[in-house]
Amino acid sequence: MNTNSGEYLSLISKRGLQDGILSEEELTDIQGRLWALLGKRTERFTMGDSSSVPIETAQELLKSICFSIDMHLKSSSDSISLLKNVDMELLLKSGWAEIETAIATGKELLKKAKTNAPPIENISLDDTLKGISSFFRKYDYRFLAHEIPCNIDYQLCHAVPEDLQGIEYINEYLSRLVIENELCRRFDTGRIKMLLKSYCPEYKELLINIYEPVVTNAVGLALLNGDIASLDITASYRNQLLSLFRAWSKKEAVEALCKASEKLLDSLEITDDAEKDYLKLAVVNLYPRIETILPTNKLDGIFLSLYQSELIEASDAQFIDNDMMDDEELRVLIEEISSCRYLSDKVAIFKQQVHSLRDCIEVLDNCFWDEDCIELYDALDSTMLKVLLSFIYQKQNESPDWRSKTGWEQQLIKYVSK
Amino acid sequence: MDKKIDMTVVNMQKLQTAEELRECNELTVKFGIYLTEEQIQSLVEKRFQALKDTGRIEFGKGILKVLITEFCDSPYITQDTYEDTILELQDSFYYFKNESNDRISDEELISFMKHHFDGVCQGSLEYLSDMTLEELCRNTRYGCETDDTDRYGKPF
Repeated sequence: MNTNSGEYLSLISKRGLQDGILSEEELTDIQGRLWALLGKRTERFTMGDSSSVPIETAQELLKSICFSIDMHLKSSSDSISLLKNVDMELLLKSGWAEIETAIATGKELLKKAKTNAPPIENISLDDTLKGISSFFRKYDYRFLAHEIPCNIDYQLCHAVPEDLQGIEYINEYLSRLVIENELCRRFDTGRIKMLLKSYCPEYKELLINIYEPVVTNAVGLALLNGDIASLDITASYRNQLLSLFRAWSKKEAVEALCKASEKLLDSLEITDDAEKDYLKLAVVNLYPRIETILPTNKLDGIFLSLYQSELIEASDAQFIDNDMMDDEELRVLIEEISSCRYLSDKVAIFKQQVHSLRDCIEVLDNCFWDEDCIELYDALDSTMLKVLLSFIYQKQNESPDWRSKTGWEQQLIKYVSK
Repeated sequence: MDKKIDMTVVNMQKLQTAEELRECNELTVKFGIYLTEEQIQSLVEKRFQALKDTGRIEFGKGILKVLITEFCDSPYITQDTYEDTILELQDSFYYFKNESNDRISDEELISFMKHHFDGVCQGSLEYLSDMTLEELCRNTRYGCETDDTDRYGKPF
């Protein structure tokens, strides 16, 4: 949107005057008719009970009139001619029709924003969505079309310009929120939660934006050709990023970030232009933050590692492993567990027969898939879980791309993060 | 709105109000009171000053005509006090419209003012403004009913 809400009218009047399309007399006539309309609207506002109103009330009513007429003029190609020749009341009613259309669009956007919101608990986001729902009940576009009668707490990555008013502000806010939600939905919710916890431990209560840390880490991983879906920037990745940014000039860094954002868009299969532009802007805005923090030789505050729970933090506990089973014995055990019909049997056999970490890993690598793991982790004690986490950590440090065949390690990380 | 259009509108409103006040003389003369041309001009000027002082804006013909029509038969208004009383009533009117948060309609406020001016206030503008209207606005703000009786419980 190029023009601020409510200012279009005065802007085109001034422009018309400068260009000679509008004479001084015509401008005075337009203003006189606007004044008469304000009088009528004021009378309707007071329901004929009061011949006078406080100046503030009249100003608000005038703003509302200008906002409504602007809505119509913006959609027309010959605004000056409309202003000169058409009755102000008719222009106002046409503006209301535009507002009604915008309200319908807004309701659709709200529905979309609610359905595509990531399942992440955040009070400000929930309250904002509830607030916007109430906006549509409270919005009195006939008298106060420029107002936004609701609270909007949730911070967007790119804030809506403050000069937008009324339904235009709400629709712009919702469009941006939908874009942010669409991107967040492309990532694993558990990983986003771990990232947010690392970004701000009280992310549920505080006024934070979910999109920004997700994009930041994703673009960091895209720069390093890492696994974007993991969203995890480990200490070694951070060091690599630091070396890269230190080596690059500002121009090179911005170019690299732009390339990384293109790569990110491709890998996330984002095709919508608005989503693309939004993400690119978020990535470009990242550089000033990096530039500021570079002299400290740390990128900890920008590129974050996923939050590890207390269990993981305490996973450096030392332990002595039992002896491994004989290979043949282990093969039989794996076959037995794999052939179990009930998950509870699998877990029972596991608990009874597996006594060493190495056997445990083998069994997990072959017998426990996806949701099966949760029941097993429920049955294991915290010491065992710590040992397993420690193993995962060690493995990931040795090779960051390490993944188990069954994905049990991801399930465990998710499990302890809950 | 620029100043030019403001001035045009104000001038138009001034002319309208003056004309209305001249018409009012036809009614008030029956009660032995009238406004001279000088007094009319002064009242008109002071209407805009009162609106400015109270931070209000008026689109119609104003409240002066209604005030005069309502108060002209008051036994407490004489030719000597006529202009000053109307001026004072006009100032009080706009002031108490603000004080009541615009919750009282013009008609109700004027009728209340008249009722008390002729009743409990016995023509005292100070009593009307400082006591009665203050109480009315306080009660309006807090949603209470106004006690309309004297100390013996009798209505005025």
